[in-house]
Amino acid sequence: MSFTRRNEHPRLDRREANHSLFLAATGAALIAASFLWPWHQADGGPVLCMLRLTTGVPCPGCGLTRSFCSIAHGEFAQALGFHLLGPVLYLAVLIAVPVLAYQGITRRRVSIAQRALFSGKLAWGLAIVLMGYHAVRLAAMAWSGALWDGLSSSPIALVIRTIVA
Amino acid sequence: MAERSEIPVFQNSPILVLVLGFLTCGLYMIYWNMKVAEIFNKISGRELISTPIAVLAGCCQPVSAYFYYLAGQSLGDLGAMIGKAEELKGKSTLLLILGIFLAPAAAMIVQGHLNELYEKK
Repeated sequence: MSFTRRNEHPRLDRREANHSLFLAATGAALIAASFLWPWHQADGGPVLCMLRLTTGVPCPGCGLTRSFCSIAHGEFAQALGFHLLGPVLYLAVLIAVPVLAYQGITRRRVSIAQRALFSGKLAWGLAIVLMGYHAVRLAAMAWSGALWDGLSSSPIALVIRTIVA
Repeated sequence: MAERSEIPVFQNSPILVLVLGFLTCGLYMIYWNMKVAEIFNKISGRELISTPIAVLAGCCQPVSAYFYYLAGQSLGDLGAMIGKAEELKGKSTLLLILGIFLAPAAAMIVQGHLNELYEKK
């Protein structure tokens, strides 16, 4: 692909700097929320995932919020149980927040951050790990029967049952 | 901005995006987001949407909102390419809101506009 390479321009323009600051602020909010969320509700908060709400089946990212909350409260084993990638992504956000804030404030490019943010290889690697993990998790849920329980009690199953009846 | 002939083809029925998203339990949306990020970056001629973040947007609601906000900004460039600049400008807010509450609908809107690019080739 023939993009304008960012490294050719040593300084960020205003839009890029704002973008960096926005990402840093979002990451910081995420970290803060993981500490502030009441610990006893870590496994009982509202379900926001559209797929899980309608079909009862979790999406590939389901469990990340609970995993982040567990890490913030020092429960690493539980965090891994909620989502395998939770600790890795939490660490990535912890590193990214100061780096992106530095970039946004000083308008100096941190080339390793830019390379990571726009790396096609990293994206494919992440996608493959996420898809593989989700496939294994769904297979385990199907084996234990949790998948069918979720499906049969979901709103979409209710609609299908109503139509069939 | 890139030439229209340089944009990779990624033409799907918006309904198919919705159906495949549900049938694959969200796995298809990871792939779809990556492809859309690549195409929008190509259309804009600069690295606007981070592909690793696009992967996470396929399965994480707050990230999804951010992804669709950026996609909405890129729609302006897409509109300029297909002669609908005014119509497609300023859809960022709509896509941001849909990204939070109804991401599949946002995906269908984006795919619909992407299809226009290939139909007019």
